[in-house]
Amino acid sequence: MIKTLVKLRFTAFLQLLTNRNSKKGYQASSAGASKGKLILWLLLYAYVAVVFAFMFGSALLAFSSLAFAMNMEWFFFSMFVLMAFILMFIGSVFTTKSQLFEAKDNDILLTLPIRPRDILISRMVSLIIINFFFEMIVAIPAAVIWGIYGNGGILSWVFFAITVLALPFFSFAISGVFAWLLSLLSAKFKNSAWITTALYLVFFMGYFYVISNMQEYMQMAALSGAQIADAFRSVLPLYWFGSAIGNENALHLLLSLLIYIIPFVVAFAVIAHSFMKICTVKPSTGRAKKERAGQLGVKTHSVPTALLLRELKRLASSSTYMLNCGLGALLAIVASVAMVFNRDAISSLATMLGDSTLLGVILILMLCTINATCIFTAPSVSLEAKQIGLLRSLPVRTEEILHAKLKMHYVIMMPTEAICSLVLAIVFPLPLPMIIGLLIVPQLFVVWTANIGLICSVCHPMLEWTNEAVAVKQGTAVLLTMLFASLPAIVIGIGSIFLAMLSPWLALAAMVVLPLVGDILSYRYLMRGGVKRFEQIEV
Amino acid sequence: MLQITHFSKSYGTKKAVDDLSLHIGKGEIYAFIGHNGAGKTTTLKACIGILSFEEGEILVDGISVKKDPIACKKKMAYIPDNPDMYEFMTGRKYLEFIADVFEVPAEVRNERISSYAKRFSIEKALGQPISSYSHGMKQKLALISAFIHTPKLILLDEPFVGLDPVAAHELKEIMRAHCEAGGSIFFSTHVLEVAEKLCDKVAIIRAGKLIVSGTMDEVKGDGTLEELFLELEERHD
Repeated sequence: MIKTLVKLRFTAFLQLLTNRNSKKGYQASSAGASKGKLILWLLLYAYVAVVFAFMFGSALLAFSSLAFAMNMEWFFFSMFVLMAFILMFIGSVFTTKSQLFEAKDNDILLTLPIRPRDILISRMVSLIIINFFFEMIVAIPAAVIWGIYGNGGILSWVFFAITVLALPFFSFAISGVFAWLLSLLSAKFKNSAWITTALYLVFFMGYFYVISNMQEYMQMAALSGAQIADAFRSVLPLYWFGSAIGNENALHLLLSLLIYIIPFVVAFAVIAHSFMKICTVKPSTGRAKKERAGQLGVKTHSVPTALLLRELKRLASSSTYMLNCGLGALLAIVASVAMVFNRDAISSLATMLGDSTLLGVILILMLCTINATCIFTAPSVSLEAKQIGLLRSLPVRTEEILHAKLKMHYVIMMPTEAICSLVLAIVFPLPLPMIIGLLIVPQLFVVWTANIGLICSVCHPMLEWTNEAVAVKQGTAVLLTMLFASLPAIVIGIGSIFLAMLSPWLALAAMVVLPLVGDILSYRYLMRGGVKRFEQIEV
Repeated sequence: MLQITHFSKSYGTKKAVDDLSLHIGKGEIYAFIGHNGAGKTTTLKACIGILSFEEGEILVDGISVKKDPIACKKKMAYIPDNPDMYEFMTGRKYLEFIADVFEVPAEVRNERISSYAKRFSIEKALGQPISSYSHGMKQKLALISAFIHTPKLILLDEPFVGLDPVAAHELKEIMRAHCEAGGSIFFSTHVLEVAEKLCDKVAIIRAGKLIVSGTMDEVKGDGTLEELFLELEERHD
């Protein structure tokens, strides 16, 4: 049964990637097109994995030269375990929450004669496999470095393999408990989406802080490797993890395995105990507003406003949607505020660059690129899911529905970009054409991103998801939007750098005219072809 | 109020509805009966304008659904067999959204919401998110959203499924009152006793083709609707 359930999860995942069995949407893809899509996705994942592998590999290489020179091979492996754990935890923690407790098929599966424990185990197996893939991104470069520069015997390789196999269980234990706590909180509070978002942001900021200071930590490690190694040695589990492989110490391997496996067993027991309860609990209703006839403050809205409010409510109801599509907006504001507080350092940077026009183009390019990460419209049609029929049955024109989706993007991104533009225009000593560009060009790219996101969304709807994270993160529309939103910004930005050498006004003209044309053309397509496409989606 | 003429709809090579013609007049309650997969939902979805069709014409109050779907939708309300609503909204917010879309004036919407919520006994639940509702509560909310804008024509797909006996009784009363006030209702159902007692006219569809239609008395004759239905099914097997 567990095998069947695990197979079911991976089949569902593959079918979503290829969009093959979709009854909804326009038509099922042909077998050839599906294979093509699958290959495209796999190539994309492989590319991202290789990039990360190089990043972690270079960090491990720096540690290896230090550790191997001091005959402290264990230190290298302690760092490997730490890095692999961090990557696995960060990579899977929110997937763990959505896969364990929020999957839409939980209700169906729980009605079947399947033990809840088997459902839980099948999900856990899937998550441990995902963790294993994350671990490989660090393990493969570690093995290559150990193979080339290390002098370990066969036993170190065997212990390394055992550690690689056991570590995902530990990572799952920690992320599973974290997800369990989050789900308990969500069940207690009415505004769980906002609580999850806030927790994620705290988590993300911490992660960002560590990553941004990674270079500093690496330098510290290189300068005072012995002290850090001593510090690691004093944290016994960390030492055991490394020593088991580096020193081929069987006792330390056994202790490490206990540390990996015992939390997993405890986490499994804890989650299994409340799995059924969390999955079947209805979202917290909080305290219902008192409904008394005749005493209600009725608010009426025009049709466009009602549709816009519906879009905003949809956004606010989902932490996954808010975080994946709107994090860039928050980061842009944070970056702008940071620039105000670090004005002196930035001014000296501007002086170093010398050419303030060039600086202006770079700043505009930066804002446009940040904007490309905020793609509220890209998953918006997919997120309609079953309710798309309800929307289509209302007496509103398709144009109004699409306008509401565009406006949602505008009302969030236009003020955000305007604030950032103003801050940058004040902080940096820029020539007039670049100040004008800074105020206008990002706004034009806001429109472009919204338009192109919605075009991709109506052309590639994914309505049959079992978890909304799939629609928000993995849809073809999302992938294409990120590409089409960022690519023009980079191309126009680079072109404008060359034009700026001739004249700042010429660069400004290119940066304004090209996106403006793109906005007009994409809007025209949306209101014609896009409307038709939306109306063709079968309900 | 609703004129369906030579309507046909295919899914691939399969003909879901074949040359269907019906007329639902002002003030009529019209039952649409057929086995599972007979084409009832397809017909209702085409009438509300969410399903395109190749052949035939559907007119709502004289307006073509194909040519001016928005004008038609303004005159209609549709409740699907499985009421999927915006689960991220509370019941009240959902009703306000529907009222906004149908431009129901502020002064009457509150009164209507309160009145229908009381009749269906869900006034206390209106402040709760729809995601916390049972199937029956969702069905009640969907029904209120249909009646809140007093449409001329209401299309209901299996409206009695999930309703408790009191709510089912209330719905029948409301349907009757709606038609007495000049509105029309076209609904599919498998509950033949309800159809027999409540409806002025009935149509029976089988494998996409209309077998019989007319006033209830004409169609069932001296027997019951159930007897007729079973007889027709046997005859066509």
